[in-house]
Amino acid sequence: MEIFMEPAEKLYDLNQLEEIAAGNNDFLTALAQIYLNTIPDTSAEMVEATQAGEWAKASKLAHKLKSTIDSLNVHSIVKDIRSIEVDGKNKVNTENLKTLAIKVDTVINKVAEQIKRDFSL
Amino acid sequence: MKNPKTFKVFIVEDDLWYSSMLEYYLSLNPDYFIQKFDTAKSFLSRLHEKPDVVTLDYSLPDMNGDKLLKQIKETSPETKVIIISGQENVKVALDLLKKGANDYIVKDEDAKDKLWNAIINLRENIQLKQEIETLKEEVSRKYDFSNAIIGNSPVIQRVFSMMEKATRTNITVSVTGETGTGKELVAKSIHYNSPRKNLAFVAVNLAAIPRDLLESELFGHEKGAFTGAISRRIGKFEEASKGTLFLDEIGEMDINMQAKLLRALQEKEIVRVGSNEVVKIDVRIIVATHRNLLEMVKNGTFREDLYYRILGLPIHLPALRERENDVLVIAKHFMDNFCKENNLPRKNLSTEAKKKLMGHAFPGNVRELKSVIDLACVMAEDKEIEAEHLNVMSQNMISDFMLKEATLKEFTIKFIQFHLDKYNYDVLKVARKLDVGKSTIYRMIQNKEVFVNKKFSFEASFMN
Repeated sequence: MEIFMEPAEKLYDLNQLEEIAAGNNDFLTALAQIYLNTIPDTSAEMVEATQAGEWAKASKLAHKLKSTIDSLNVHSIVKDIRSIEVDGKNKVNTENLKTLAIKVDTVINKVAEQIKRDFSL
Repeated sequence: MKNPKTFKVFIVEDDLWYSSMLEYYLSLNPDYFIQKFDTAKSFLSRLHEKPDVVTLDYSLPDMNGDKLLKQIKETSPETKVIIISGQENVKVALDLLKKGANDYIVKDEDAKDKLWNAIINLRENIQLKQEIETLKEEVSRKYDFSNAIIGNSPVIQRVFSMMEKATRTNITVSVTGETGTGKELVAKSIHYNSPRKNLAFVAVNLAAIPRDLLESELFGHEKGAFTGAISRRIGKFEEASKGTLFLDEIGEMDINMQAKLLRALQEKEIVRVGSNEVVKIDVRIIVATHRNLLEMVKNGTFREDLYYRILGLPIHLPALRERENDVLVIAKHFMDNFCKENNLPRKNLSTEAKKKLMGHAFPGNVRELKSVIDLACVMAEDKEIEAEHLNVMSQNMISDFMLKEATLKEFTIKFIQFHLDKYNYDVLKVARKLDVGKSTIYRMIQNKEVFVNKKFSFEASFMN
């Protein structure tokens, strides 16, 4: 599966987080750092789980990633992360899960690059 | 009450991103102390700190939400728990709420606002509960025998002893005494010192409720039971469930209603007006009256069977004039309270003022004394309350008739009548007090020179 995106396309937005931060940029920077430290690793773990056919584990990891994806409004993978969570838990449509996990992982890493750049981290 | 600044919120969440978001958001309220934990184990090691609220991620890696909720409730039952779950699962939510969770919030974009509001509501709830506890303690202190009823006279000490007996069991108590002697205060003191003290004390003044409405007031009614019954309403018996129902002025109850009350007390059940359903009741009954119920039984205006059903432990409150020096002790108590409540310097009674109080018969009893003292505190400019500041009804004052010109015989009649009024028409007591023969007084009664009935004695004093 190919992932189509323009190099300059912004994959996330900070609207929800800015509302919470109420002008506190330190808080946003701290969250950005948490993203870089944890989310790509969790995503990689989820890809491995789908490769190994460990659907329940993949579902739990998708569940964990979901709130970050939602709060950063990474809309290109909002539906996909839910499919991995639900189908993994129910062990259905498993043939698609590997591909979906790779797609999610790719976007998550792209978002990480953009965050690094945007926050100069 | 706990300092509101120490309101402790623990966030238990393995998703560092989400917990950091919650931590930051909730800490916008400077009153909260926030602490976050990423495992059940690390959280449990700090549960002894008894947080006010825990936000609990339902899917933790080392323990499921169900099990952790159970442990929280066992170790710190006062802690409120808000479950935060990634999925909306009504069945799971209901199950957790049944097991003691206080709220269930789904992780969506509104979650932070829902959580914010949920914590505010829980905090208000906790504060209200603490306020209720404080008030309960205050009420208990207020109605402690020694604080509620003041006096050292042997007659009032006997009342204390009876009240103490009344607190130990559920026996029905009948309180008698003249108006203003503190019958309701006694009823409340018994309730607030009994095992039922944390439940309702419901007082009903039977003389103040129109005859037609009394049944519905006591037993409740169903919607449409009568014109104006627009909804179901529980009555005083149900309102006082497991607590105490105080039926004041029971002597004023209509004879037909007496039969219904008797049935309720005998069967320990009531039927709401307009219903066939029997409702079991568990209430402690305290009744009060200023009337002589036995006399009413003899006259046929009070049912004998009800009389014996409510008699229980009888407590007779003596009139103030029978309580010797208590009048000065109570006066001092009222003076101190009034001055404290109104930021006035403490006052004392002059010797003449004390004499005036001791010489007054106080037909209105403690209630009258309070009103006399409150007014005196206002009228007295200085620290000392003088006799002139005490506004008491003149027909009860010795000094009043002593000032009038009269023959010795007229003085004797008035003097004996005054003492008969003062000692509740107890001829033997008056004879002892005045050191005259009881036959002298009986002869005066026979000759209609003095009277042993308040109404006639007042009338006689007006006529003279």
